Amino acid sequence: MKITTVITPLIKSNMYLLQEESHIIVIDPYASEEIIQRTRSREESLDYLFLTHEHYDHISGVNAIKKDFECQVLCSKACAERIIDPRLNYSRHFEAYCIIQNGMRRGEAPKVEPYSCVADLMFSEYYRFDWQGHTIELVETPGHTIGSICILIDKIILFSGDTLIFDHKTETKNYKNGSKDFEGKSKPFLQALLPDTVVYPGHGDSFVIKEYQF
Amino acid sequence: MTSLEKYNAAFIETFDITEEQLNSELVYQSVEAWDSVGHMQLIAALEDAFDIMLDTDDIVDFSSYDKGKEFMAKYEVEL
Repeated sequence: MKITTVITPLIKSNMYLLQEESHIIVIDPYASEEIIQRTRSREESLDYLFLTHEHYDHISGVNAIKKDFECQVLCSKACAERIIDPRLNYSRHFEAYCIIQNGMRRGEAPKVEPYSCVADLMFSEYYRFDWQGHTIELVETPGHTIGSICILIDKIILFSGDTLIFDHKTETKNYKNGSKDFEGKSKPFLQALLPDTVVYPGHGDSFVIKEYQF
Repeated sequence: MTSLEKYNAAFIETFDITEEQLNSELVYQSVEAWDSVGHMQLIAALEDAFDIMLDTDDIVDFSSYDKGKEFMAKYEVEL
């Protein structure tokens, strides 16, 4: 399976393309020109868009990609309930969010219209299925947001969204019980992963989970 | 609840502070909870409380409890 990382201009969020033969899964879609061209060419089958969580910089490409290609958006039920609301997915004040939380200057921060998208497939707690010879497990890992999930492939590759970013403590202040949920539900799952699990985070470089300081 | 009470409640509930802390010393980052994440939560609470939508510049410049009162007036909220 080939994994391609695309660093998006939206506060350098990572989008990932997983490719096996002519089938693709996109994680945290951004409507980059490459993706649009590939989906339009129809040489490859874009099977799913996975959303690790509901923040705008991780969902911004859903509508544009779905417009051109039939694929299913898969995320947690909690995430699905929030991606439809520009306030809850942070698109409503994304410019201010970039200035305040990421230190961007006024004028440099992206101006976005309030954004809404919908999910096609939703799950709660855990969902497992086989894709092109690989086992894909989606696990709810609340803490950073209520709708956060991690995606574990073949027990050894993890797409963590913003739940785990190397050298950063998980930001759990986005909602009231974030810290409690992370400590009680998500951290035990993450700490139980195989030590050599490679983590592909929502921002920054990939790393091996045994290198992460919980 | 008066508008001032709603305004105060937004600060108290968002930052988990007391009414006694609602004064001119309450500024961005003067309490632990008023960091960048807390700031956006405060904005959301105020927008909810008053059914308004703040401009980006006002959100960015909303630097203190007192300054916020000035901004509320701009949105026709009399405190």
